[in-house]
Amino acid sequence: MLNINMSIDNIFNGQGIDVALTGMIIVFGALVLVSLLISVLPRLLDFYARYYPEKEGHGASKKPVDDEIVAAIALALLQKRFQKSNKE
Amino acid sequence: MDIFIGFLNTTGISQMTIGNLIMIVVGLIFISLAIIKDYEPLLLLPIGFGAIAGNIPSIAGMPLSVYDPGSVLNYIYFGVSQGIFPPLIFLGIGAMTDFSTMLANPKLVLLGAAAQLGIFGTLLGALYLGFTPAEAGAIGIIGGADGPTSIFLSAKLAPHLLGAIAIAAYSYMALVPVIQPPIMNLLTTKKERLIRMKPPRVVSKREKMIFPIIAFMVCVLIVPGALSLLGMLFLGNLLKESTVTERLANTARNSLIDIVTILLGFSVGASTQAQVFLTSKSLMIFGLGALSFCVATAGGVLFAKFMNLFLKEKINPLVGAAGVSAVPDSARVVQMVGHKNDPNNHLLMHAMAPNVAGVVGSAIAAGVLWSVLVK
Repeated sequence: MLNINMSIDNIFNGQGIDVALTGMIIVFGALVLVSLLISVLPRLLDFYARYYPEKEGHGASKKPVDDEIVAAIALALLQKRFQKSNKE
Repeated sequence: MDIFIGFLNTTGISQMTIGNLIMIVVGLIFISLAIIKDYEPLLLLPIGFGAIAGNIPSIAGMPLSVYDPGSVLNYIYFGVSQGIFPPLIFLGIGAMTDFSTMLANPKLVLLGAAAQLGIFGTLLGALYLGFTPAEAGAIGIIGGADGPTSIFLSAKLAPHLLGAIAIAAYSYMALVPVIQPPIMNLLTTKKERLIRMKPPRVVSKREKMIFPIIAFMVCVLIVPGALSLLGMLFLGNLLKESTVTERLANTARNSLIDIVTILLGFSVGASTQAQVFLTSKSLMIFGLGALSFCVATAGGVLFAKFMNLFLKEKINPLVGAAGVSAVPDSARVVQMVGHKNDPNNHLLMHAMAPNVAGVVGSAIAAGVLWSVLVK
């Protein structure tokens, strides 16, 4: 048998509204702060990188491959295929 | 002959109750869902098997069940009842998580906060139904859609409800692909669902390395109650991003998390003995759990729409649904719903940002509830 004691008073007696509001405000506050710090971080790191640039290798970011290099590789592969098909 | 008859009286068959049978069927359903439907198989399978094991009637005087001091299962369950397993799982999650999409688009973090509305909305619902504030807090955390966090908080606030809360949390996490899409479609227009977002920028290695330290300090200084969960999450992430502890990161995201998942799933399943589990409270917890997932999804989607009122570069509101921290299932659901509306719109990367922010958000919410409601 379901033994339910439903009442709006339960929410007020248990300080439900206060707990819910406090909880939401703290969660939002903490994540807003994290979000702000994340937004500022790249600028701080750019400033830092002027004096201590990121080194290649251990722990450093991989440099994105240059578009021109990708295009050159693609062209070379294409030419090779053409040569192959011409021979055949 | 007396010995034989005495033995027959101790068999599981002679002591089986209807409740035990129902729970064994539930266990079988979980195993079927895991194998046939592929719903959260890593969890539903051990939980389902545990539910069967936990409902084999034990013999008086022999410590067998999770609730019998000194039994093997009781020792394994210690990791659940004392909240040891959830932080270890968080260590593994941290070592798997790539925070770059979140770092590339910090405003999406707010969607992870908005989806925590499910936690606090459910808390109010549980209080309304007559649960004590501590019980309501433990039930509310189901809305965080985070199994380890739910287990951690219910072990602290309402250990007697742990089995029901854990089963509800994991069942609904498995059902995210069923629960979320109708709400997402209901709360958004076709035009909104077609919004395309700019690809995220490339995030530097330094940013990725510094982030777990900063985020840990900020969150834990505000909410010390989240120390064990967030500490392990960000430690795991630092192990991954530092690039100097690859071995440790590998162990955390593979062997360790697998071992803990097996132990946690099986012992949580075994804790669902019919005598403890089949109560009116469990039924209400399941109802509230479903409600919490709906409110959390709606919270994320509606907050994304609210943010769009002020943003030049609009967010696809579907992404808000990923604030529900079921990683990576809710992000996958966003991708799936977005893809249905526009096959060339790929939202997965964007959805991962609120998804991982949701994990942090629900751990913070758990820390708040623990500190406010603990006696």
